Amino acid sequence: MLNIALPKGRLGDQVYQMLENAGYGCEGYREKNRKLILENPEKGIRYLLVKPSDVAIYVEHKAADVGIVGKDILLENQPDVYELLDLQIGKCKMVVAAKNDYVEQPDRTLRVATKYVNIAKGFYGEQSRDIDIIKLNGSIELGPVLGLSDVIVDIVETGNTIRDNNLKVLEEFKDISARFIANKSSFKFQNRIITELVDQLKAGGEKR
Amino acid sequence: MKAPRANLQPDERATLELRGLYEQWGYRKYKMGRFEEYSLYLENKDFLGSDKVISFTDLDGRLLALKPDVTLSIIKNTRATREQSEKLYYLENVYRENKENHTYKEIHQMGLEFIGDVDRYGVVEVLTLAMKSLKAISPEYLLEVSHMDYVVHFLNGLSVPEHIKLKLLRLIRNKSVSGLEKTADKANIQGLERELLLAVPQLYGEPKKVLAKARQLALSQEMLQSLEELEEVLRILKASGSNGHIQVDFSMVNDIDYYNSLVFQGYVKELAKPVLAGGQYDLAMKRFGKDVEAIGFAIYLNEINRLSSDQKEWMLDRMLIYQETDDINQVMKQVQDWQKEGLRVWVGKTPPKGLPTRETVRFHSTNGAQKPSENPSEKPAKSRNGKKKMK
Repeated sequence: MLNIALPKGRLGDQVYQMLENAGYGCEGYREKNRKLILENPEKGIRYLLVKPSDVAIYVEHKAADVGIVGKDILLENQPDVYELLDLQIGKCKMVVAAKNDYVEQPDRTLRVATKYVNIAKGFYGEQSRDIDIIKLNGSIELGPVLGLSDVIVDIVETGNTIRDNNLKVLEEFKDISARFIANKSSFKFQNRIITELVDQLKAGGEKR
Repeated sequence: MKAPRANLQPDERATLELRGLYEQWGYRKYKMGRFEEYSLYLENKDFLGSDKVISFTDLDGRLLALKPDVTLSIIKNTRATREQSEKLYYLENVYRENKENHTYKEIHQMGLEFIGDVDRYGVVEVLTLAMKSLKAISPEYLLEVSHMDYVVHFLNGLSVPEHIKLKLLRLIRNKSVSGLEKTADKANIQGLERELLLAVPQLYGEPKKVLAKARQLALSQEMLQSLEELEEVLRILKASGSNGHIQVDFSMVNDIDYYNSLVFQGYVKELAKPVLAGGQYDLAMKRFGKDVEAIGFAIYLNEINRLSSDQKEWMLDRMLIYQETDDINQVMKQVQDWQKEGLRVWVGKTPPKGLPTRETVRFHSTNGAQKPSENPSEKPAKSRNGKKKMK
C-alpha cells in the first residue's frame, strides 16, 4: 500500500485531478465529508489529506511514502526527502515587497516580516544584510502598512493582495511550484509504483 | 535458578547480536572518554555536517565538548599503520542537534572501523559486516552502495565555480532533476555533461543495469576506473550471497573533503531513515596527517528502536497481594515457587496501576494462596504505593 500525502485545498484538488486522470482515482474524494484517509485497494494506494505545510513532515517520517508540497515549504524546512518532480502547477514567486513609497536605507537594520524565517535569513545572509525578523503566520501584508516592518518576504501569485494594500514588489528571487516528493526509504522499497506515478504525472503534465 | 530471558527492546537485541557478530570477525571493542577537545569538532565541522556541539569549560580551563561523533576520536587516537591494521567497534552515546525541536539529543550509536591497509578484501569484509548487521535488524533490508569518485571526478571536470558545484551536489543528493536542469541552464552546462548531470539522479537500482548505464555516460578515464572498482567489489559480494539486497545509487555522495571511493547506506523497510551509514575515509586520515586507509560504518540504534518490539501482552504473569499480618516467610516461598515455574511475579500490599497482569492473587497464610482469579479486573482500591518494577 502506497500512502500519498495530499495537501488539503486548491493545490491538492488540482493534483488529485492529475492523479485521477492518470488512473489513480479514489472513491469519495469529492464528497464533502471529513474523512482524512481515502483508499483505493485495487491500485494499492491510500490518500492522506493533511495540512499543506505538514506534507513534508509526514513524508520525512514515512507516515506517507510520497506527497505533494510547495517548493516554499521545502526551502523553508529543508526536509530530508527526494524531490522527484516539478509538477508545474501552483506556480508563484517568492518576493520582497514594501510600501509603494518605500526607499531602501542601507545604513539601518532592515525589519522583515515573514512566515518564511529561514528563507528570509538565507536571502539576506547572502547579501550580508543585517535584519530583524518578525515572524507572522498570516496577513503578512499588514506588516509594512502598520509600520511593523520595512519589508515582507512572502509568496505572490497574482500580486492582487500586494497591490490592494498599496505595496510593491521590490525583488522576485525564487520560483515556487508544487513538487512531488518521496521518502528516501520508501523510494527504495516501493520504487516501481513510485516511479510509475512520477512518469504518469510527468506525461499528464506535458499533455496539459 | 535461572531467570527467564528479559524482554528486550529492538535496539538492545540488536546490540547484543551485533557485538557477537563483530567479535566473531576479530573486531575489538573500543572504549573512549566522554569528552574531547572542542577544537577537534570546530576544525572538522564539515565531517559532522553540523557545528552544534555541547561545549563546556573544564576545571583546568580547557574548552571541551561532549562527543557528537566517535569516528573523529578514533581517527585522532588510532596508532594503526599500514603494517599494523586495527579492527575496532564501539558502542557509545553521542550528543547532536535535534533539528526538529531545536534541542540537543542523546544518540546511542554503534559502529565499526577498519583502519590500516584497507585492500579489496578489507572493503569486502566491512561491506559484508554491514549487510549482516542489517540482516540482524530486519529481514527486509537494503544496502545501497556507490563509488564517490564517479560523481566527484565529473563535477571537478566541470568548468563552473565552486559554489555551483556544491549546489549541484545538493541537488544530486535530493534527486531533483528539475533543479539540476535550471542550474545547468544558468551555469551554461551543455552537451554530454548536461546529459550526464541530469542522468545521475536516475543512476540507481539493480547493480548490473546501473553500472552498464553509468559506463555509457562516463566522461573520463577516472570515472571508468571507479566503476571497475565498484564492480569488482560487488562481484565478490554477490558470490557470498548478497543477491537482491544490494543496490547502487550514484546520487549518494558523502562529504567530499573526508570521504573517497566507496560509500554506503543501509535501509530497512519498516523505517523512514537509514539505519546504517558509512564509507571509506582515507582523506580524513590524511587531514590528520596519518598515511593509512580507513573504512567503517555507524548504526543508529535510536532509529532501530522505532521498530515494533515483540512486547508481550502481559507484563506480569501474576500479582501477589499480601496483608500486614501475613507471614513473610510463606509469602517469599510462594513467590519463589511460582518463579521456578517460569512466571513473572509482582508482590506487594496494594496492586499498582498500569501493570498489565494476567492474574491477581490474594495471599492466605493458613492454606497458601487462593485459587487464582482468571480475570485481572481487580482494580486497586487505593492509590498505588507499592514499588513499581518495570522489568
